[in-house]
Amino acid sequence: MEQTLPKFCGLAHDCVDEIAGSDALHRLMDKRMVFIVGKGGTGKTSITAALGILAEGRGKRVLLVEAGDADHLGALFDGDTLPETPTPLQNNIWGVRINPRAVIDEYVRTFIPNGFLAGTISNSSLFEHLTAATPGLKEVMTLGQIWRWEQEMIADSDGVPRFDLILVDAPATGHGLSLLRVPATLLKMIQIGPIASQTRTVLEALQDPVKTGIVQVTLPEELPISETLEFEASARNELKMAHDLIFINCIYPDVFDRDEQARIQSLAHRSSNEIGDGISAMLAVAVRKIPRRNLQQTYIDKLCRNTDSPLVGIPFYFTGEFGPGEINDMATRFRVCMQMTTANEKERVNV
Amino acid sequence: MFEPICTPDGPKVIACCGSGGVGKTTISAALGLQAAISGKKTLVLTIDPARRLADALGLAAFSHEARRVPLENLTQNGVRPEGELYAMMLDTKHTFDRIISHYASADLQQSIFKNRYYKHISATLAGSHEYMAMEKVYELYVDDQYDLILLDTPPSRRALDFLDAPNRVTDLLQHNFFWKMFRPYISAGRWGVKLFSYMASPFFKAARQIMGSRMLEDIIDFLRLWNDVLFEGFQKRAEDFKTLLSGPETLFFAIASPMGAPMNEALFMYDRLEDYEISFGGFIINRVHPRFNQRVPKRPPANVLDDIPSALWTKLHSNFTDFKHLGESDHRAVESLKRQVKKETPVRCVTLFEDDIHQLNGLLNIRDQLFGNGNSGGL
Repeated sequence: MEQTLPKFCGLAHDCVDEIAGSDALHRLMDKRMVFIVGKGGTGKTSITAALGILAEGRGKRVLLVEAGDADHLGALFDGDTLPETPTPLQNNIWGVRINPRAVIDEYVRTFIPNGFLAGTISNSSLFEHLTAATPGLKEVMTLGQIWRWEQEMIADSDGVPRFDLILVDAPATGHGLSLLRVPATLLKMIQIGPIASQTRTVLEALQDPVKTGIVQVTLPEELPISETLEFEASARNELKMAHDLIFINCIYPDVFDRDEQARIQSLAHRSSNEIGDGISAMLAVAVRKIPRRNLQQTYIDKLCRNTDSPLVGIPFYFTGEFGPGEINDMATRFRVCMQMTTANEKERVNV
Repeated sequence: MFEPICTPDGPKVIACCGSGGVGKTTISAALGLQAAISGKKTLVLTIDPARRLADALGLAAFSHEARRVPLENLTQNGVRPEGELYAMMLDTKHTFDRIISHYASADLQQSIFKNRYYKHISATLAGSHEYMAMEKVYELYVDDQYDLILLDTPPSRRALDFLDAPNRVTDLLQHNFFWKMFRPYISAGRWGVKLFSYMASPFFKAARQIMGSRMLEDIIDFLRLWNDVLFEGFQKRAEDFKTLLSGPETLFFAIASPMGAPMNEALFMYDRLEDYEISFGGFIINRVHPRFNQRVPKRPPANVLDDIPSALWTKLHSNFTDFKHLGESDHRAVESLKRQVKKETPVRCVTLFEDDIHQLNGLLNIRDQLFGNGNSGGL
C-alpha cells in the first residue's frame, strides 16, 4: 500500500489538485464543528473516527458526536454503543450519542423554572406527542446541543474550550440535509421566544465558515456521486454553509498500468490447461477488476468535472469489516496527505 | 424459491426493503422483469432511480406516470416475454397535496395549502416518504390495472418506517397533544372563549414559551381543518393499508449487501416482519464478491515466466489475495445470516458485476441468478 500513498490525495488523476485536498484538511482541523454527511453505506462513521484520530494527533481535544440512528462509532474504538454524555474513548477523544428526547427534557428544565411543572411536562406522554408534532424541534434540539458543547469551557481555565473540534457523524444524506435545514425553516415559523433565539444563534454558528464546515463522503458509483453534487449545491445555496471537502471512499487501488492491462487481457485468453488453474484464476480476477476500476474512474471524473470542492480519495480496504486498525491506517493516510500543503511548509519537511 | 412471483395466484404487491445503497431499485426491476416474462402485467414503483437504470430499461427517463418498458429486444436473448413491464417514479412532493385535494373542497384546500404547519408537516414530516409510497401503492392496488406492483421502499436506516408510516401519520395527528387538548372545543364549535381561557393555563403558557404563539395558532388551525375534513378519510386509509400489508396479497423481501450494517438491517427487518405477521419472501444479498478456491503458486511457474514479469506477478498475486479475502468475508457474512434465520427462509446472492447495468441484459443476468437453479458463488 505504501506505493499508493503519494497518489492518495490525487486519486491518480489530472483534475485533482493534491494541494487543494491537503489545504482543505488543514482548514478542517482548525474549525470547531464539522458535519460529516453522506448517503448510507458510504463510510461516514469510519471517516468521522479517522478524522478524530487525525485531530487528536495534532493535539486537539476532540468530541465525536453520533447524530443519526446508527451506533457503530463506539465499536470503532473497541467499545459499546456511545453513552448520552461525552465520555472518553481514548486519550483526547470523547464520544457521545445524541438522544433528542433527552436533550428536549434538559431544555424544558432550563426554560421552565418551576421544577415540578417542568417534571410534569417532561414526563407526560402528551409531551411526547408535542415534540413529535412540532416540526423540526428534534433537529433544532440536536443542533442546539452540539452548539452548547462547542460553547463549553474547561472550568477555571479562563476560556479554554472543553473541545477544540466537534465532529458530527450526521444522519444519511436526506435526513442530514433536513437536520441542517431546520434552523432556517423553523425561523420562518417561530420568530419570538426562547426557541427562536436559540435557533438564530445556532444558525449563525452553522453559517460561520471559520467555525463550521461540512464534509461529504461519497463512493465512486452513480447514485452516490449525483447525490453528492446535489447536496453540495444545497449546502452552498440553501444552507449557506462552508462545504469544505469531499472524500471519495472505497477506490480500488490502481495497480496495473496500461501495458500490464493489455498483457493481462491477452494472457487471459489462454486456456487453464496451458497455464494452470491458479494462474488462470489470478488473471480472471484481474480481468474482472480492471473494468470495475475504470468504471469507478468515470464516476470520479464526473465528480471532478462538476464540483468546486477539494477531493480526497480513500482506497478500498480489503479486510471486510472495519475496526480500529483500519481507522488508524486511514488517519495515517490523512496525515500523509496533509504534508502536501502549501500552508505549512515546515510540517512538510519535518514529517 | 421465488416462484410465487411468477405464479398467477402469487402476491399482488411486493415490497423490497433494505438500507440505502444496496441496489433495491435494480433488484426490484429484475424481479419485475421476471414477473413480466412469466406473463404478468407488472409495475415497478421506484423512489430514487438511477439515471442509468432508466437507460437500462430503455426509458428516456423515469416519470411520475407509468411508462411501458420495451421488452421486444429480449427476444434476441431467446426470452419471449408474455406479460408487460411498466416503471414509475414516486412523486413524493405532490402526493400529500393530491390526498388533500381528494378529500377537501376547493376553498378548504386553499386554506390548508396556505397553512404554515401543513407546509411544514407535508415537507418534513418524519416518514412522509414512506407514507407517500404506501399511499401510491394502495391507489394503484385499488385501481387494479396491474397483476403485480413492485415497490422499492425509501432508502432509510429505519427501513421499516414504511410499515409504521400510516400509523404514524394518523397517530401523530389524531393523538397529538394539541388534538387531545382542543378536540372538545373544536368539535363542539365553541371555538373562542373557552379555548382562550384554556390557553391561559400554566400548561399552555409553558407550551407557548417553548414553541411560540404563532406556531401554536397555525397548529390549532390545521387541526381544526384536519378534524372537519380529513380525519375520517385518513383513518380509513390507515386501516386499509394495514389490511393490505398484512394480508396474503403482499410479500416482503429484504435486500442487503454483504456488509455488517446492511445485513443487520435486513435481519432486524426479518424479525420485525414476523412481529407484524407479514409474509416474508426471502433475503436477496446483492453485490456479493465471488469465492475462489484455486490454489495459487507462490512463484511464477516456468511456463509463464516469459509472459509475466516478476513485478506484474507480484501485483497479480496481491490483487488475487485481496479479492479472495473479500470473497471469503462475504461468504462468511452470508453464512452467518443463514444461521440466524429459519432453515426454510430463502437466501439468494447476486454477484457484483464488473460493470453497471446498462441494458436489459444486465437485469436478465440478475434475474438468472435469482431464479436459476444453482446459486451463483463463483465467476
